[in-house]
Amino acid sequence: MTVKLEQLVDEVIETDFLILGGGLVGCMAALRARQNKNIDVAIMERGNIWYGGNAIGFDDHNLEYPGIIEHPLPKNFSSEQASKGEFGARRFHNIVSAKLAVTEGRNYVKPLVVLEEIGVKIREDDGTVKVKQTQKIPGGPNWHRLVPDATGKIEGDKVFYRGSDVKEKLANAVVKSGARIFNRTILTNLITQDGTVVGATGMNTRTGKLLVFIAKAVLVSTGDMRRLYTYPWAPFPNNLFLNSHFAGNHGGGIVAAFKAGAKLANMEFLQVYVVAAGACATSAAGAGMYWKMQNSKGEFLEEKYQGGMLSKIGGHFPATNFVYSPNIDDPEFEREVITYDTSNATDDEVVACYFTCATEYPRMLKLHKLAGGIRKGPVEARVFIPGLLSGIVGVLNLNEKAETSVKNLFIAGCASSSTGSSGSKAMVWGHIVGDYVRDIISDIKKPVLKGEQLQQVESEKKRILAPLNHKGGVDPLELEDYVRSINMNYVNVRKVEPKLKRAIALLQEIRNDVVPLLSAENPHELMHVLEVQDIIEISELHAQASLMRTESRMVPSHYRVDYPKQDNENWANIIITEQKIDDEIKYTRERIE
Amino acid sequence: MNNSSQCEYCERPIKSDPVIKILRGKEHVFCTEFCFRLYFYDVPRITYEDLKKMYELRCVTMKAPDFHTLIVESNEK
Repeated sequence: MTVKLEQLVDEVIETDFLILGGGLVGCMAALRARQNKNIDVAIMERGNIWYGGNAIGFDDHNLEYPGIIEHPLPKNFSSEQASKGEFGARRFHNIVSAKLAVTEGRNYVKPLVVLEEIGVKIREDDGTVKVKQTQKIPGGPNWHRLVPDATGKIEGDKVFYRGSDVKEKLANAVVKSGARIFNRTILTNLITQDGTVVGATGMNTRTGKLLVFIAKAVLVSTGDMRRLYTYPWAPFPNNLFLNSHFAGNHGGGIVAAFKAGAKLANMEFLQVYVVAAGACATSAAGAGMYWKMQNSKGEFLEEKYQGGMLSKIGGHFPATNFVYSPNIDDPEFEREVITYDTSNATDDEVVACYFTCATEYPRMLKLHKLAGGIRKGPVEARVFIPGLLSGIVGVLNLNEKAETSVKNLFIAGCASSSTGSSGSKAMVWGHIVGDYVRDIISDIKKPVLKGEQLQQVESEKKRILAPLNHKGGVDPLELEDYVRSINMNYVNVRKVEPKLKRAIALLQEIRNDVVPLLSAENPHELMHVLEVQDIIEISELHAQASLMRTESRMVPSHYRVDYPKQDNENWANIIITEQKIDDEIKYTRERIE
Repeated sequence: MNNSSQCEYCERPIKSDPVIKILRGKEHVFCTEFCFRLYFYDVPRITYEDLKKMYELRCVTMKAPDFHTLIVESNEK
């Protein structure tokens, strides 16, 4: 018996261009696509587009345009220059495509033009811009401490503008452009037809309404994976949501793309921060960034371990260089209580810290106020894993058009493995995809869902609603806590084969034996059920990819106790990709340019 | 009707459409929704004067051309 689509779900939406995620990427892509008013654009956003995405935390408060305002990008900007990190190109130790970094560089400025058009005040009244000065560590990131750059050269430009309202203005412009917005709607899966994406299913997290979107092209801009590890110094369930990044980003778009057949890459790499106990953010904490870290004997770590042990084996986060010294298997922070003393902070340092709080984490100003101000030192510093390393981990971006290995499926922003870990770069890729889709959409035939797609929708509906029938079953947040504790205990920073294998076995057991017992009583809990299933999937891929990379690179992002050295002969320019084909996960090594 | 030309939170002059909120029956005027949120959640105030001082310490002022002129089109096909 044939069931009609309208009988299966509450609403069917036909559109040309479906954008999954209404963050900075999604809004920029929608605006660009809607330059042609004949193109129908729909945005599915799990929160609401005025506050959704990483911009809610900090990414819309400063615009990162490294070097290019002072030194415009040369027309012949090359892959070689990009691989050296010139003009702000992403380097990341041979696991990010230099070719795509060139594309990114060439498009850096375009979003600025759009932002000015929609009324974002980037400039001062006299037309100048304010650029934050940062000190560059050779081969590494910017160091925020107030140490003058010896050369006086501005290495990392961050343009600050007054208002901190990029996201709001983008969202308003998107509404004005006529794009259709579906707030409070979480992506549950993609719909495919012969290897081509033709739409997606979603659920309203307030009403429980099920929606099917039929689309010619789909952009995954759902952000990065921020819910794999826990903040171990907070009680449940706060430990699940305390994060230095937007905890709403659980990686749902990445899992959906993976299930649809898209390749994922670099899933082994972690983001590792040093944060202040209780603050859970780098900027407000200032640990290692503004103030020197010291042990209980009053020894400053950066003086004790000059250069930082990790920097010699590929480490790249400044503060972690010192806390993991002298030996990552026996680091100082595990034998000592590490603090940084702000009690004698100079006025400039206090202002600098407040400045970063104001532009990155405004809520931290409040925490500082409650704690009695910044000079209330010493503060304990701790190592914390906010998630996988955004910008290099996620759906594989195949080319300069941000296409994926699934036809008509595009990827941009932090959900992409190749580019875009900052709001600025996210908008660059949103701009690229929006323009490209606008140009090609008339050549794509309107999809017609057939029996196979109806079956996909029907089984998805069954999966989504099943937990409503399991009264008194497993609580999704409790399961998430357990899954994340597996990652903490068996994967974490010091990875080793037997533990990784144990993590994989445990995760597979959970998927088979516990997931069917998940229960929910309302749409909000159903959302958590969907999230935890994605988190299990990502956790397993993370453990599998970690197991496969038999070397250490960008320590502590990927450190194998049993393979502690960087192995350039076999692993430089190599990424591990995962793809689901006929329900089987296949792993391959790919060489990138 | 509040005719304030200054944001109640950051004290910057309001140059575009003000954000007007009624809280406990009283009208409040902000320059952006963001400032309203900071005000609402009682975040310690950073005023325009504070910001200017911060800019002096942490930022340099740069002349920036029309951003259109900085766009680099690819030489490659």
